[in-house]
Amino acid sequence: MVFSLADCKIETINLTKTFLSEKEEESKKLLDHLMRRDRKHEIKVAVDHVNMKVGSGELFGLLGPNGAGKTTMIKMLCTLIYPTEGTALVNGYDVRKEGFMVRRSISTVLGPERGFWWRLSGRQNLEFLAAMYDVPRSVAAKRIGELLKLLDMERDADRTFQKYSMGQKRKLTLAKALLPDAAVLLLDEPTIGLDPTISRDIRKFIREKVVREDGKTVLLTTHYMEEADQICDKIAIIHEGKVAAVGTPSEIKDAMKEKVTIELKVMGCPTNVCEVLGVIEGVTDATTISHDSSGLQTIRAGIVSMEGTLQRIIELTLKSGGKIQSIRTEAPTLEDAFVKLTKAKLIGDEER
Amino acid sequence: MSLLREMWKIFYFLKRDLMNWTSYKTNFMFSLVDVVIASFTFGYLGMAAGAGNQAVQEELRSLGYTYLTYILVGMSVDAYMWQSVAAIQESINPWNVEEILVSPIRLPTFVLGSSLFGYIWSTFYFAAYLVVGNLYFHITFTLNAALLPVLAAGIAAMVGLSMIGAAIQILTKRWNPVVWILHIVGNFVSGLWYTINILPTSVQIASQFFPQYYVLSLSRLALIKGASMLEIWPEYLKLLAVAILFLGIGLKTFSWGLSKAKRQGSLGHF
Repeated sequence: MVFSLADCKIETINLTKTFLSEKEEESKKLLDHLMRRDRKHEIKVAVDHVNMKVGSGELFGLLGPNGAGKTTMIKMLCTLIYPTEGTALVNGYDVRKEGFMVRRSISTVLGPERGFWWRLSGRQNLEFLAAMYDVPRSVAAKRIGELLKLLDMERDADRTFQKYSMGQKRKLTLAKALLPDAAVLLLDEPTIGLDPTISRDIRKFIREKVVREDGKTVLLTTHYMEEADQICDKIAIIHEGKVAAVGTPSEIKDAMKEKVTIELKVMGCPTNVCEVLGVIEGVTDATTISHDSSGLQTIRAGIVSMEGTLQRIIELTLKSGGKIQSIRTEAPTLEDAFVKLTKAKLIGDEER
Repeated sequence: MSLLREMWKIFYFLKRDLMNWTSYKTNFMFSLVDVVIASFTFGYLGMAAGAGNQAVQEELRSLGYTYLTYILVGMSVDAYMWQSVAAIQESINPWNVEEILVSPIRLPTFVLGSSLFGYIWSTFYFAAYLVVGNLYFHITFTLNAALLPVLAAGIAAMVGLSMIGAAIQILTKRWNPVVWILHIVGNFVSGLWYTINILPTSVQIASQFFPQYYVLSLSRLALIKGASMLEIWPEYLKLLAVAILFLGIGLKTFSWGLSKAKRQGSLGHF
């Protein structure tokens, strides 16, 4: 997808962050440790020359395991961390040179319990944060009321934050993110640690209200495949600080090549039927996974393209004398793609 | 418009801190007991120490003070100085520093907003010392206009010092004792509990570099002797110079510390 400059809300250009960390040395003597002598450092690359674009009104997911560099990217985009190399444009502003303007055009969620004052009520917290984000007084009270209603938090709005459940804290975090009416929302793991019902509600709210209805651009990080698959327009799979793949969930799944796996149960086929099926154009592999004494074979075949291939498989199966009992198709999940992509990278690294 | 917006933010900092403070039910009661006991303690200490040392009495009399007035004004003004040192460092913690700094807030607004409630609380202490001094120990204080610029300059200088401490805290991730020690040393050399004339000459020279020395001496002149700005301006200019220097260094150091923490990526790590 190609964006014009106006359509692109976030663009990273060779965005890189390295951290200098002290090497852990178990053998270090206590005196050396106390005196901080013989300290050895190593450079850890958290984000490695990332180039990506997020379009206006898009819900973009950064998917990756813990430690992949997702949060570091969010922190660079909201100017809490300076890039070591490269830069990023958020709403047209450079995170290196125009930090204040970047912060004026974004809203960030960094964690469920951060940025709130525990002895203040949810409403009082939101009132304070509205002022910090320059929400006009005349607008703030109304918007806070609307958001609390939308997130079903009205009844608990005047309870102190410390008494909230994790789900309520998350909801208040979302309310906070929506207060400034910012064009770009950066959400770091918005549903982590929540029960499935609340996670589903929050996902639905982000997708239907924030993105579809209000037209905001959302960049969220997650390590939940299901979340990324369900709500994101586009996904970047991040592995060891690099973008392993980027595209819509279905594009990423398509990139697996084994677009569909079919499972056939056939009766009376010769044992070498898989060799016959394997040469059909569009079939990546065909294997007999079970063959019982009654002659019932279960065959699995990977298919790149459904067009004509399935029909050809059926024709050849029947021609070889088999009777088809059942056919089942399985589409690959995003998890399959994720595992394949990240595993491939690991193998690549080992080879290097 | 922009200034109004920043003032609005500062007001909300104040409101937040007030609500947070009042949420601790016993806070007010204990603070009240604390300030009253402190006022009487230093009042009686002033009487006892002043009565017990003829040389001190003579020295203070030559300046136009009694030890009681000297110590009470000293303690009341020190309430502001200590608050200035502590405020910013106390407001920097891992739970909110990132969230505040990710909002479109300007550094001076953050600094002022974070410390304003503390200054109001310091005013409470300041007033308590003077009220107890006046009603119980029958001391007459003069609240004249010269006191405000003196306190303002003193606070600015100490905020500068506090920002240096905050920068160290952001980078080292620990509450650092540097600023606290400087405050203690400042009290030692600046004439909080005694006139600096009794100190060795070298220490007296060192006093000239501590803002507390000017704030304390000028506040005493204003509150006890009713000196106007016209009478104290030469010393006030020195305080102002120290304040501008400290505040400038403080702001630069804090910005540098913040910037370095952002480069290191360790802002929210404590």
